[in-house]
Amino acid sequence: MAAELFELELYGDNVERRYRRMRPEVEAMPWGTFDTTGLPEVAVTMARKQWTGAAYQEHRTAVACAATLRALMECRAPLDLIAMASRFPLDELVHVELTARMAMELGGGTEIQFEPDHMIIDAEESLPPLLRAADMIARFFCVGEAVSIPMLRATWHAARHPLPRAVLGRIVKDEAAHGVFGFLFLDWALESMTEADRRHIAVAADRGIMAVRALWRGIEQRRTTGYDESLGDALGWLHSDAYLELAARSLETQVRKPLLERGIPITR
Amino acid sequence: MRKRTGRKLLVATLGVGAVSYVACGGSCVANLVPPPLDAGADRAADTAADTTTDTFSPMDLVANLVAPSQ
Repeated sequence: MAAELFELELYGDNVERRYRRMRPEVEAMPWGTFDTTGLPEVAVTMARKQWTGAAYQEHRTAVACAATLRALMECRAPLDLIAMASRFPLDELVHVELTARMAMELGGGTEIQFEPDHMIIDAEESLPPLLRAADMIARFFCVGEAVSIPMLRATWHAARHPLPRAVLGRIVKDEAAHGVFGFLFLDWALESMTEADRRHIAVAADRGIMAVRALWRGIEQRRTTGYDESLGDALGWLHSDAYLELAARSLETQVRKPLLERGIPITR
Repeated sequence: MRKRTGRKLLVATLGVGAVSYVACGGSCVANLVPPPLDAGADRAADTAADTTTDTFSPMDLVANLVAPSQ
């Protein structure tokens, strides 16, 4: 599969108007107020790169939410639970727009090459529908989304400029429901699951946990100890040390503890 | 065909902050740090840091993990 450049477009006209009516908060944000004058070029480029990367990650998360939604329908999860999850792909698309527009506000997106066929790892097709859903929910929601909540909230609090603060605030608000969703699903699904099923969920969750830890090891190896104020303004990002400290605590309280409490035998 | 007034939402500048997520799909297992991998950067040094033999991929995870500046 050939690599593609990560760029995005809007259809416009009535389609955009309908979308805007669904999520009017996007246009209400203070777009066009981020003045990069006086900021070092290297800081602005880094900010563009990070916000473009955030847009790509949000896009991947939208793919994961859509794949999960299909699996929830296939396993006939409770209708109200599926309805709750049906909002998630739209939430993620809104986050894609917000983060992409932040990159454009700072001067434009940076180069990301990706493979559309390999954006997420689906559950194995041979698994029964309930376990397919559980496999993805364990990785994407019980680990990924759950650990994201405190990280996003802290980053939101660190943001000073009104624009990144509004963007991050919106994402934090939406992600709160995403973070608890995985455990709501487990509380229903585990009623009909065997010990072998629980072990399968544990393996899936462990894969997610290992991926999170590997990500943080990468940050640790390259972390910056000096905090550049101008960079902080452009990024609206947390300082590396604060991020890593909170990350370790959050993995324990938001992921490992609730999984173990539900009898999921994770080992990571 | 009806003419529409669509527009670009995200336009990339080629060569600026280039990152590649290619070859990080379902076949990537173990000994990998997650993306983004800076194109042409010190990937070998990164991968050598993780010596576990566990099977996982960066793509096992999706998360809004807004990482700090690196």
